[in-house]
Amino acid sequence: MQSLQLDEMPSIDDTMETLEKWDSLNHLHLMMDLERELNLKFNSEKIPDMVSVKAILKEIENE
Amino acid sequence: MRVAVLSTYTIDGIKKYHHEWYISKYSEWEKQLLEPQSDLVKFDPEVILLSSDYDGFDLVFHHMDSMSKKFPNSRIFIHSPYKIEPRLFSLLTDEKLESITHLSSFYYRVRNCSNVDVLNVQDAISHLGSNAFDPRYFYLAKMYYTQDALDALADQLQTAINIRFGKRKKCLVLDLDNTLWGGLVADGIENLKLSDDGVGKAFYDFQKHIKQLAESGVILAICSKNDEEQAFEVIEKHPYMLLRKEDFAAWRINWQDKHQNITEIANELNIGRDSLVFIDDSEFEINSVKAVCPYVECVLLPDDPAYYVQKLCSLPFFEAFELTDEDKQRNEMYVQERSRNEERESFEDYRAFLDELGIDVVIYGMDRMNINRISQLTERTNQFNFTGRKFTVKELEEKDSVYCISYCDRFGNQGIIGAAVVHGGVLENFVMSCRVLGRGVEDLFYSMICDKLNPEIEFIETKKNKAAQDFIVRERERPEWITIISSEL
Repeated sequence: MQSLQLDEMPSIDDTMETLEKWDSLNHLHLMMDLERELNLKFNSEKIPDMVSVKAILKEIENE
Repeated sequence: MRVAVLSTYTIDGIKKYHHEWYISKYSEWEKQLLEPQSDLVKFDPEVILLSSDYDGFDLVFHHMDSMSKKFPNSRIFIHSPYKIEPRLFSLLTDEKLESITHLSSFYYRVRNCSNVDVLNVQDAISHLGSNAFDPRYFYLAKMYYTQDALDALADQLQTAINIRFGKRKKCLVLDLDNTLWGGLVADGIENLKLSDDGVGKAFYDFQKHIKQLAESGVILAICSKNDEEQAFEVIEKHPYMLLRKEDFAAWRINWQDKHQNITEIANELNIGRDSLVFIDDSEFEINSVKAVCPYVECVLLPDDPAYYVQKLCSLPFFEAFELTDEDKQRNEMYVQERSRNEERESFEDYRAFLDELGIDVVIYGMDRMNINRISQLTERTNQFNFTGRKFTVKELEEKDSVYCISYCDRFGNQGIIGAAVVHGGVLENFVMSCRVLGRGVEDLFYSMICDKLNPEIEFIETKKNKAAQDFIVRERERPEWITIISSEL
């Protein structure tokens, strides 16, 4: 959660709208960090839509 | 340090090291460069990195001369773009050859801008291969390089800053057990892992690289929790030890806290505490030294000794731009200094000690042989430095008169240890290596410069030049114990 500079875990309902540091640049850093952590690669067409915790979890499940 | 980055692509991931950063948006770099009152101008950068992707390079190159003139007080780093598209050809056609020649004309033009340097990005990034580039993020956000590649670029930029701003570290302080060899001294010399074969070779190769650093001007010291006698038995007698007692300028092998020992080593060598790098395999020791001495760079070795050499080579602290003779002999000089100090303790009268030293000096005008060393003295001397001004070789070539002084006594030759830069009737800087201070050489050289050139003396107090501040207000000595072999002044 370093890329979003969060002190605590985000909740399942958090989105780009609810978290202050989740801007478009940090979104990409978040994606890259997740890819590195989980050793997978997201489809570049999906990345712009993965802007909520739910959407991210769904995409990870699909991978 | 204020570091500005102008780039034709998204480069935010470059901020690996601690600086005050200004990073322009990739769409704005040209505007920042050209507008008279842009954010970049207001930021007043000490360092500018100009980084472009392959397509943007010609335009960046086009602006280079004007940029060098617009920011004369900034140190500018530029690099040719690393081509990360798949290679489509094997033979060099005329056209391909031309693009290579184009690069050499780039290097030629950079040579004419005294404040511009070229980063060797090819070397830093090429080992990453296709991992340097991720087309997905390039199309999504114009990120030309991956984070791994930006990390490598950041290491290189930091190394370059350390070189150009005289922050090359002076001394490497080493632990012994599980650092220079595998296992513990207490387990017996025959059980240590250190050989020219197998895992023991990892330690042998690590020592080989440390020895190379010593030959390039890094001073070596030991800080280890051990019995001194037993440790030196290993150092002197183990058949595969490359580093012997005579390779170390200082040591603290005892059971004291390591931060205490490291402070003592810095005092003994008379170098700033911020010029030390401490290497240890123990996380506990690294953290405890970090906590008490935040100005010492602490490096924790990886768990696996096979990676020790890689770790050492990735550190941005020890690279030099051009090695001078003094660099090559520095460690040896500090080893000599240890004998000199031992002798000094046997003299009751300091003056008698100075007479006994038999100091000889030679004063030279600047020439091709010594110009690199003079530039280095202005860049690296902190304590005895009149103005803090640093001069590159190119800048020195434009000065009216530059002189330097070399030192030799019966313990050995210290080489060129002081320099004076006079331009437009002003003494723009007067620097002296602290390892000879207090023996009258500074008094002699200063009075000769004043007598012969009669320059206006400039003095700028810095946080670190206490030694020079004390000198400028105290009464000058007349050092009759020094012999001037010859002088071009």
